[in-house]
Amino acid sequence: MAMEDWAIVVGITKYPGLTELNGPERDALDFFSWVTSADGGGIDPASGRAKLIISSKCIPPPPYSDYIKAQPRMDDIIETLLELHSLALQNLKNGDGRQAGRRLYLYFAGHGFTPSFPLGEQVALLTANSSEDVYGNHIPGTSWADWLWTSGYFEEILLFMDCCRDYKSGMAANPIVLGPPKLGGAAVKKRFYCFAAEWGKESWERKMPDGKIHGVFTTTLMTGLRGAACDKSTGEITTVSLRSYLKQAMPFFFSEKDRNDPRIQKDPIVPDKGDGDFKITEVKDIPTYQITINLPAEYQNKPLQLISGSGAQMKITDLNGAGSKLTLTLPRASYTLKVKDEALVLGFEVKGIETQDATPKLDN
Amino acid sequence: MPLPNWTTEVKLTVQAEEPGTEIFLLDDQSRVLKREVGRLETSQAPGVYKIKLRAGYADREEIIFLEAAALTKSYPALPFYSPIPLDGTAARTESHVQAAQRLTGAGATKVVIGEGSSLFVFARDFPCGDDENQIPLVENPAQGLSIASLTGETLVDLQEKSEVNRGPEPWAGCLIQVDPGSYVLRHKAPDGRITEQLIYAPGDWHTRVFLTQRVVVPSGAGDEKPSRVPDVQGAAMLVTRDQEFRADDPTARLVELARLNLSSRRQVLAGSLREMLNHKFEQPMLGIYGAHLLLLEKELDVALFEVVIKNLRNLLGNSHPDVEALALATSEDGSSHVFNTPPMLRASWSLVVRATAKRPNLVPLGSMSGQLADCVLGNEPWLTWMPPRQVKQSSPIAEGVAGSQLDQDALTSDLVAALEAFVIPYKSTLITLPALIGDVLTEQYPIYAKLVGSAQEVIAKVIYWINAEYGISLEHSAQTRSSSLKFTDRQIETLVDSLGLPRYNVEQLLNKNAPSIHAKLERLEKETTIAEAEKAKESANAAS
Repeated sequence: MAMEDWAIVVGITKYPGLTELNGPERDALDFFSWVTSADGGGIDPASGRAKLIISSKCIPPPPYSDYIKAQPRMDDIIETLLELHSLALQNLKNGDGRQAGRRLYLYFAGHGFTPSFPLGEQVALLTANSSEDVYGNHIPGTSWADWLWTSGYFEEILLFMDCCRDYKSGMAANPIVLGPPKLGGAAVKKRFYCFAAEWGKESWERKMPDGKIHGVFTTTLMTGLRGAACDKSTGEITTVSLRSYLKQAMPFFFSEKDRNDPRIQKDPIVPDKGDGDFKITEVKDIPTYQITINLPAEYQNKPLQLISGSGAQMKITDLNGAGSKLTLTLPRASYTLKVKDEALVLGFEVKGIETQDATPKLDN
Repeated sequence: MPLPNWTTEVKLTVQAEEPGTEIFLLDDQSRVLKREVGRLETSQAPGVYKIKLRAGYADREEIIFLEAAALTKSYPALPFYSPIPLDGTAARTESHVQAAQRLTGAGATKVVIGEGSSLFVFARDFPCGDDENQIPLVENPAQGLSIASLTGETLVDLQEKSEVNRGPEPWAGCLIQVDPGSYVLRHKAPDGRITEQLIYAPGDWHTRVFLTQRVVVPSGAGDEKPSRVPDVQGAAMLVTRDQEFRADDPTARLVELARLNLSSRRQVLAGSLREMLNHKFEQPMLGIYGAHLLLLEKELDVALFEVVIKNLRNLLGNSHPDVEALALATSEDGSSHVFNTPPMLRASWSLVVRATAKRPNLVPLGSMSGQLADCVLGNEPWLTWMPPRQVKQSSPIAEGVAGSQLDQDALTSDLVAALEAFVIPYKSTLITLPALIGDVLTEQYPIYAKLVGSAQEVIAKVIYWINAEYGISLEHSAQTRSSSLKFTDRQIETLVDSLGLPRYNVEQLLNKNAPSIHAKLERLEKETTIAEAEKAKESANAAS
């Protein structure tokens, strides 16, 4: 039986016991929209295989009188995870092996922290009924992803966590209610985890060009998944191409002030799980970005060469540098501009961020 | 002219002026090809590449065209952020440099409380473009700061005793002549909450602590506005032979880079920075941070690590708590030091705690270290804590929760049951921790949510993880029932490690509940035996 893809998408905005956030619910909706679109994650929204848990859809909805009453809670999220467990057992009973699906997307946005145990690259999402004194109400996203991966419930697990990662001393991750991981399951198992912040650091949200507040990490992620992170030759968005995009592009989704603030960590953490590269999705039309380069005087009105790639893949295109501006339409990549038969070389990058691509900074 | 061969590899060398700078080589689609620290040498096919440099959170990128000839690129030091107003750092302001120099220079005024060592605490603030928040700069950057003795007595109120400049770039500095030894840097926040950390002032050395301010956003939906307070967690420290502060000290920049990398756990020891550790270094904090960075590497370079410890002991003697903690990393017998007081760094504290699994006397029960072990805060790189008396005052069992009168004994009993569930080997399915958490504790006691951070519950969770991660179950036998729970060394090590508590503290927690655990275990075992016997009888009846 062909296995299908699943998604659990959580965005918690209202924390009566902590500071209120603005971006997570909007970001979760955005991820949900992508994961259920035909040219994105491809999960049929009517199939019930994409679960959305956000603050405003809770019953009763916010506001709450105090944090104790706030939703969503751990059980709301664990319930969806347990459905996957039931499905795996059902498939086993039906002779299809103890596997729940082909791929699982886990997206968690909200307040978070790093538990003190288990040791390693752990991130937990605090549920709405958390407070400064109550960090026990959480979903250990990495532990759940690891459990599902170890048990082989999916061939591929993609975990995205737009949460802070403050270390919490003496706060162990909540146990996985299913006990120790199972052995067996899918023969091929791959993981791809991305975290908005590094160990002990905060994630960030800010007003984006659409006038609304979003997580900086999720904005970068969604821009990448919608095409900017694709390989410029194949159109495939793979785990390696997405990692490269997130690392390089995320600083440019900060405000200029924050981007230049050396106190702020600006790139996400994408731990190497040793599972190799694999394809996430593919875009039909490789996105291109129009850029206008302000040519220095020594480049104006001279024959120019646009160079991209390296080795056997290197491509040299002749251009005519008439005037002080050069407008090009190019896919995301680094390029150099060379005056033909001269030593002058300018480097520039098309970052796959429209507003930033208008006049790229030149390296010389 | 013949066309170049675009597949013949060409040599590329990237040299960073500062040895602690990370260097990445990326392809034209930003995929990482190579990473080094300080200097990168490689051979690549001709083409377009990106060079990225990183120091702290400061970075720089350049796109290059590697043609037919070998290429060498050199880059100056990056302006990373540091609380110390060092030359070439992002937050250097001339007024702060001058103030720090004057306050530590010859003839500087001192507060005298001892002799043989000195402490200098310099707190500062500066406009950093928080336009969106409009949080005003502080008037006295040392607000709420003090130096206390190990017994808690305030020795110097830094807010009162510091020289303060309340101008557009405010600062507050205080030079204190002290006896060599351990002191507590205390910060009392406007809401009364106190955090503390240890400062060790070695004899014949000058210890300098620099702080900037951080923004505190109040939790909840009140009208309280964000404010700026001294950033104790982000403090920087230099330990120098020279009394006068020098903004142009290149080694101080390396010390700061090492601190930043340790706080974010980046493994960056390579090249000349590694060589520096292997030879004589004159800045003890570089050695202490460097040794911890060595421990982050996948395979510890034991020879280099031991050289660093030897050098540190030559510089600081055999009683510096962080050096002695480091000496425990490769052998629990590596130091004879008893940690009545904690070390300065959190990573050092973890080494001490881990070593207590085999040498419990390292942290005596009732010592300052033993008392604050339950109150340690989470951040890196400094070990910070709330005073134990404050923790007791803000006990998680708070008033006004759903109007219920909490039955402490009954709740403890249920938590004990949660613990007990994992003391029973897996073959018993009578009760499980998740079931208890989900069905019993939460439903019966809404206040349970407020207790999940309690040590007992954490123990229960950790025991779960021991079982889940290692596939082992805790021993439970007739021989162990008399007085205390018995754990294997491995289990104790895991508990010590994960709870972050010295062994004596762990044992105290476990043994406190032992009698009730044993009583309930025996009852459950009896029930299990009866249930199994009945089941066997039913099966036999059915078969016949």
